Amino acid sequence: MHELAVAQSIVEKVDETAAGRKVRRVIVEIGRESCVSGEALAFSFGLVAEGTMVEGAALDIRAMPGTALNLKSMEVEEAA
Amino acid sequence: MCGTCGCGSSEMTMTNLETGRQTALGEDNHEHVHADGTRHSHSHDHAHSQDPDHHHHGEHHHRYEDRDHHHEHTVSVIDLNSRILAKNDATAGKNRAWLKGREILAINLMSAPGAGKTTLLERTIASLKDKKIFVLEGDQATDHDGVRVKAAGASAVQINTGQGCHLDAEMLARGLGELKPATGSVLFIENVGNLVCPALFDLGETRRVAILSVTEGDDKPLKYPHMFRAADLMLLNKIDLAPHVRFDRNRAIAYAHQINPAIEVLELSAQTGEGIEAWLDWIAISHAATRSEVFA
Repeated sequence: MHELAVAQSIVEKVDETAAGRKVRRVIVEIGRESCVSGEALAFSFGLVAEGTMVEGAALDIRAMPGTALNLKSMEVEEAA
Repeated sequence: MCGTCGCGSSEMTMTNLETGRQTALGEDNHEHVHADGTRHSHSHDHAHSQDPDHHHHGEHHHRYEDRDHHHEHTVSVIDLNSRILAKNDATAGKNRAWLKGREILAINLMSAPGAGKTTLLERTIASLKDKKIFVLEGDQATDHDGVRVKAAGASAVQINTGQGCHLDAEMLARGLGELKPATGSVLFIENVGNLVCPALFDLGETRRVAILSVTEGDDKPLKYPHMFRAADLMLLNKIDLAPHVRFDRNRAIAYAHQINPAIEVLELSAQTGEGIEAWLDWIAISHAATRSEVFA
């Protein structure tokens, strides 16, 4: 359930940074001891992204040791 | 979308039990993008993407042609390198400074539903009659707990999180603004009953207390390590029921120390009052520390 709030934080930051550009991919690091489930996070991410520039973006979850919860990078489409 | 994440204004509310005033939460503290695109009403200058020296914050230099599809687009990689909960942590930092400057001891009470948080609060408020106690109550729904602690003599604000399973720093900030705890007072934050989610969200509190009732079983610290790792104190509650349930206190304490060697442990029964003195002493010591830490 808390994955929804975590997904919300990711989407807010990414959407804001995208500044109107379409987001292709978001890369996050999730610690194995962070108490965030990757599956639940991926599911929540899809829901929360709806209607934002993040909708349809892939979420790359990189498992890390410890309790890390980091937003690494994102890929956006630039207008030609 | 707001309903999905539990921060919808229709569901998340704050009730001041002194005045009866109810405020919807979530409208101005969460920024949402709506279908009408209001959020993007600011003009976005695409021209700068043609300037090779101009990048968005932390933007990578390497850009590549996307050959798979969308030939009309190039893709930029933007480094973010931030904590996912950075916004919550920043707000928690503000709360902490606000509380510290006012010498307020803010205790975040966390436990599974039914572990006895509210009963403990009632007992504590009654025992600290000479002190002004403030309570921020967090529940998904109803103001039952807020009404109980108000009846016990505290000033209370109830926050209903709707589908939200925890309090976050923004909710505490809003709650502090409504409750206005007095300088030098003790503030209890009763988190939403949940042994997982609240551990993840720093509120800016002074102390974190995890309550474990003996009816829940002595292996909870191992099963829910994050909660006990995050806590300063583990309160073993309902010890009057211990003879009736299979609860090995030594094992529970050993497990808690295995997860968090620094955690303090107290045993009490909020119902009968047994062991309550040590808890009141812990509050007094923590409160005194808050004062001496102000200019530290």
